[in-house]
Amino acid sequence: MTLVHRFFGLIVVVAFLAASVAAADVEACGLCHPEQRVEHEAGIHAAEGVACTDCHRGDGQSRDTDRAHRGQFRALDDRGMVPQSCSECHSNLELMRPYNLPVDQYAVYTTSQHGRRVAAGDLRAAVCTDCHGVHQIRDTEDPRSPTHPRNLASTCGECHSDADLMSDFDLSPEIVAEYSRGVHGLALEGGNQAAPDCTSCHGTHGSAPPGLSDVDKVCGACHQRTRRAFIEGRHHEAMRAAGVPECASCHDQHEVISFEPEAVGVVCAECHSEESEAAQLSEKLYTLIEKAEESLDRAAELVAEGERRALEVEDYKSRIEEGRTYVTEALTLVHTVAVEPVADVTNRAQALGEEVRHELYAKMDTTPARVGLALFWFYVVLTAIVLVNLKKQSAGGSS
Amino acid sequence: MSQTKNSFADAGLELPPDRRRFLKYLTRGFLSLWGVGFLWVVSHFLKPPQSRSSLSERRLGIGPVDSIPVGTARLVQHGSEPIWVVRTDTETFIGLAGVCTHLRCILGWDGEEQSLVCPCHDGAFDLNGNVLKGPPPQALRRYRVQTQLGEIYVHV
Amino acid sequence: MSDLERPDRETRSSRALDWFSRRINLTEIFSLLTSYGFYYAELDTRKPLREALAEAESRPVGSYGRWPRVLGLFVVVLLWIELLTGALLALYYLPTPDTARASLGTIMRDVDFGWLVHQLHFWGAQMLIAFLILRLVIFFVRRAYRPPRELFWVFGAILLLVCFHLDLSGRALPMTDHAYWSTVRALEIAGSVPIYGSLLLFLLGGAGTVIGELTLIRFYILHVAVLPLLAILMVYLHFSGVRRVGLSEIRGERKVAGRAAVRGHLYNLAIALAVLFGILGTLAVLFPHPFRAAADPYVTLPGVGPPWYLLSVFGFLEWASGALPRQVAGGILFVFFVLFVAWPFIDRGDSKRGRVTAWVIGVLVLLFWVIFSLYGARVA
Repeated sequence: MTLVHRFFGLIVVVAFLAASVAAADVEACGLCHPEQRVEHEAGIHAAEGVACTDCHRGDGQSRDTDRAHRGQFRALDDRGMVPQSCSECHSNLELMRPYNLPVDQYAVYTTSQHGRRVAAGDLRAAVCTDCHGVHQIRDTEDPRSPTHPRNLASTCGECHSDADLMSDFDLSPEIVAEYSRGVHGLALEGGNQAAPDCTSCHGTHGSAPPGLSDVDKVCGACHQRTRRAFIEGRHHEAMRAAGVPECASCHDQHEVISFEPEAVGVVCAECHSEESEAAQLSEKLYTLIEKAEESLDRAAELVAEGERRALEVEDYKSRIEEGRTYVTEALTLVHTVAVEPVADVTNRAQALGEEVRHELYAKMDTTPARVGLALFWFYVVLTAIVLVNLKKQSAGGSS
Repeated sequence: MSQTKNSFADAGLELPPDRRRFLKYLTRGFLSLWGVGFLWVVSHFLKPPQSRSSLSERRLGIGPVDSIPVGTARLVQHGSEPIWVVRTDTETFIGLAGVCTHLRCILGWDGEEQSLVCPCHDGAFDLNGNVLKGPPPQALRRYRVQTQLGEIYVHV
Repeated sequence: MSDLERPDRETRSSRALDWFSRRINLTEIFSLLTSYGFYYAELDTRKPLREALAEAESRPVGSYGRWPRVLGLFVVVLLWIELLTGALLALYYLPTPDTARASLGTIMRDVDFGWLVHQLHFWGAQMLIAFLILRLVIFFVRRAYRPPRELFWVFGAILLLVCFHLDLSGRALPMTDHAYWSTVRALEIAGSVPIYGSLLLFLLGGAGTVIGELTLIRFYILHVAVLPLLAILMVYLHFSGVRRVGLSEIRGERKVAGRAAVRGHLYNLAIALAVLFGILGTLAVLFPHPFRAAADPYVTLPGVGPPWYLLSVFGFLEWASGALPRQVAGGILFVFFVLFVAWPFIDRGDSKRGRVTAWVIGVLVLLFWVIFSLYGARVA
């Protein structure tokens, strides 16, 4: 932005602020535009003292339509003008610094698909007001704001779920629905604010679909361990060389699926043939995980049984928890598609499970009691016989 | 007195007297196993169980090192056992049983004499637990006391 | 036993007995102590012991070990076992909500043979109630309560109710989830019965739905002191009746007089004890009563019903809750229990019609019991 431009914007704003302070009166725009006035009052712009004339210019004090709409007044009904007019303030560092808002967003926007299309004249693409609202602009933190994380998917979906619109751009209209079905969408709906929304991967104003290879970089921002494991493995270089998406090939980029251990083999079959070495590897990995889980499940059953016999099982429970953590780690390490790292943790988990079972079995062994019972019955029967005999004896003996 | 008949006689067997007596005592011994077994079970039941104590139960933490100044002692409780913990110098702590070996009164600490005294019959014990004077017949039990990271621990 | 030995022993023991008899009323003490299953002939307590015994033995008596009387014998023996195992358990059990379950855990895990004593106590109680119910059923069927034996029935019926309460109060003590909610159900049932319900809840400290410290200790005192004394009292009264009136008649029974009958009875007791220990031991080892999780008074455990013997009452109350107000249904139960205890005074006659009516009523009650128990189990 040129110095003049910035200088000019500052003067306008200061002048109007001074004017509004001097006038000490609310703008008269709302007399003819009551709806817009109400909407504006409800939003953050009104709260921070941004007036109608700050965007629309003109004379805010006048009650006469002609005089109000005079001068620099602009209706801003041309969608193409919107980004630029917003950026008049929102790219001004002096203005935005108190609010700690970034001032490069307009620049970023112009690099985005939305921005480029608008610049090329296609006004169907999103401009600022499509997502943030026209007059009723709320803070993103406000749960009612269309840009609040929980609302983002439906906001984006306003256009991106419109089949007719999307078909013109050769984009799938199912994306938002897919996202909602995926693990991320469900997590966000379930209240997990840390779960990613559309902007987490696509960016806010620089919206561009991350190149399918770029998606993988984005995934790794949160799923760091998994990404590192994946990079260590064979898939990373092979898939990169083939230009095939890394994370998204198996997990899908929108309808993100989390796989149960049983699915480890199923997913592999999507690329590898059944007789291939890869298929055998997947079998092996699945077996490792399954065995570890089984071992822990059986240990847990035994612990429950032990509890019913009043044994002290806290130590065993924590060992089983440790084992389960190892299994979770194994599911992460599966991404190395190598046996050794996975076997390392699954063996530990399995060993823990077996250790617990072994120790508990020793404590819960009922064999001594049962053997004792059998011997006791032997003794009881003998006693009964002896007593019966003695009774007969005494009955025969006395007169 | 009528002739004693027994079931063996009924069966046509007539046993000599000593074998009959043997059988009688054998039978009584056999049946008394019930009583023996009963007494055995009950007596084992009556014995209070050893608490499956972990180290944490056998090692009693009684506070920071500074809570007992040099040359003083403090009486601590472990369950129903009182224990005197004496600090002889900056490094050394001594643990002694706090119960007099005479008639089980609780001992007091004499700072001047650096000994444990019994108020009941004027017995006294030194810092090794040995009897200094009075009627107590034997020495006090000693407890191992260690410090770790500025905390005092008594091994009970 | 050879002839040579007996005279010596007799002289020594008879001399000792005579020495005591001249100083205290041995007969009375003997009569009291043996009225818990040992000796069921009446003794003249004014005579010295040996004379009284000789006189009593001259009368022929039936055997207590015969079916169905042997059930009563089992009941008494089980009562001793319960008293003994209960006393042993009480040495380790701590009756506050915080320590109850932990102390039971110590018994089951750490104390030598603690698991055995605990299981014997539990299964002994269940068998006691089962045998007592069976004995009462048979007694009813044979109409053995006709005069002069009405009080046999009355004391037996009261003993049954006392045993129900013993089992209920005992169940509350472990403070484990299943036991806790089972007791709450039972208290709800008791609460619906008029008069008795309010009295019981008052005695328990006005139990709301939370069994807290005070209520638990009252359960404990009831279970350990009050109810056992009542049970012992009922047994004593029952035996007093047996001594005065004699055992109920069994057709064609051979009655034996003399010491042989006494010895025979003692042998029967010993055999019964041996067999009972065998059965109880089997149950203790093969079907141990589990140790469940701690009770949370604020989280109701679903699917828990009252103890098995109260299922019929519970079923009835649930079934009637649709049609009748709770107090009315409870009132019906109250009337039923009064009739139950006082039955011998309702059915006095010896007529055939009386017999048939009694039979019909008995069968109906049994059907009621079974059907509502099943219903109650399903509804719980």
